[in-house]
Amino acid sequence: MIDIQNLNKSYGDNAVLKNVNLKVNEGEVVSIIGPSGSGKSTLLRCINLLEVPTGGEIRINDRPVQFKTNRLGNLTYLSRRNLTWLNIEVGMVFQQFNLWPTKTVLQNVIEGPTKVSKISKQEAVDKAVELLNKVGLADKINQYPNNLSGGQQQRVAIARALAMDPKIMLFDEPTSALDPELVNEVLQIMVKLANEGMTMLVVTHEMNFARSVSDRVIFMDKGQIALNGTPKEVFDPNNDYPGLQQFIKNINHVIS
Amino acid sequence: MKWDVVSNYSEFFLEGALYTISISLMATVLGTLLAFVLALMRLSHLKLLKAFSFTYVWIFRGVPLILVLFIIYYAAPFGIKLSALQAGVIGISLNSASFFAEIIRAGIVAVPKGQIEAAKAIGMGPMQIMWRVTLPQAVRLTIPPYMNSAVILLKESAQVSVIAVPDLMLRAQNAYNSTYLPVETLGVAGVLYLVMTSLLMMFQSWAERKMRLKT
Repeated sequence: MIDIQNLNKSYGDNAVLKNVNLKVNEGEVVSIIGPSGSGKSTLLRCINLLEVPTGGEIRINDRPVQFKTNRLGNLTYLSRRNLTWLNIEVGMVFQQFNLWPTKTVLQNVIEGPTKVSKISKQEAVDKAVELLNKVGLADKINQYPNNLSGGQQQRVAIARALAMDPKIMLFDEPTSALDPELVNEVLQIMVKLANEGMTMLVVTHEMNFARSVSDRVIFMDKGQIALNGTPKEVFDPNNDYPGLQQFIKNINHVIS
Repeated sequence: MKWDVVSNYSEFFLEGALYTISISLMATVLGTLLAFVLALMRLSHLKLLKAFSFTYVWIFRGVPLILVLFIIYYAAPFGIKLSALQAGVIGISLNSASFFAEIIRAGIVAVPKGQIEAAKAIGMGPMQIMWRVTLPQAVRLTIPPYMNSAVILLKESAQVSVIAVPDLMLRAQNAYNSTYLPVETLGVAGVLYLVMTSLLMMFQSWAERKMRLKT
């Protein structure tokens, strides 16, 4: 489903991703963990080209992600136009939700389907209502994002991404900006999605989610995939990869 | 106060005010369109466009409007001969575009990056993002400084009187010259200007209320 080979990303001399190789199969839920600055978010953002890789190959559903860059390293206009398929097949949920504050919840959700996939407004609205029902926010349909709690906003953001009918969902620390008591409502939606067989790549600090929901956990360190295994293998207390145990302690707020 | 003077000149003044309004309106529209293009040029990655926009703003923000009016009316290049009204509208448009351009640029830059990324992530193209995501938010942010400039533009339009556009200012001067009654002529014109700028300020309040992020 996702096939990444020799992915590199650097900002000037600063190499953020170094020869990353990663395969994700259909229906798999993969959690990416690791210390801050290890390249987790960058890896995720390279998959839908929010960050433009400096090297390497990405294939989504066996289709190569091809693009050209200008002298500033940005995608050319033509490349962006030719990659609409990628953004339709790959949905993304952000740490800061990034709902559009000038649009209602419904308008946020139907924006992509009507303006990018170009389906009829009625069809898009029906779909949006169904999705908002799924995330438990059907009653907020005409509200503006600023009127919602962080957890609700993130659930709308998930509905907005799902409205494009993506085959893959990327989650970039979806619960990190939430008050602790609101984390669960978002995680529950993600678990629901995982159970429905969505292919998911989740950068997270929620170790419980990584441990109990994911099929695979990736531990990133200094721009490389240091560990790639089942939750059991990665969270094994005897796993002596340098820094891993300390990282898990830090994440779990173990005070020594 | 000689009210008969005021009433004798009322039609003369109102016609002048109509000139002032039309000139200001046309210059605001033209100036804004030009400013939008300048702002986009300034934000583009092409050095040439950036330099052009920078130079434009540098020059037109830096020279007096009255000088621009003189040049366009009396010394337009390529032998172009413009009517006073045309020269007035073009002069103010060129001048105000330099101010509007900076305001629009600031508004566009102020839209959080995440907003744009969310739009990119669902596959919206650059134009769609500009029209549907960036601008609606930029407009909201720029209303106060933009309206500020619009009020200044309306007042500064009085300068077209020096190239003999029969606007409110010129008519007030004419009336004063034939009556030597400052309050009944210049004073009345001042009140009319105040009415026009007040309308703009009321429009600003309305627009701000309308664009406030709803909760």
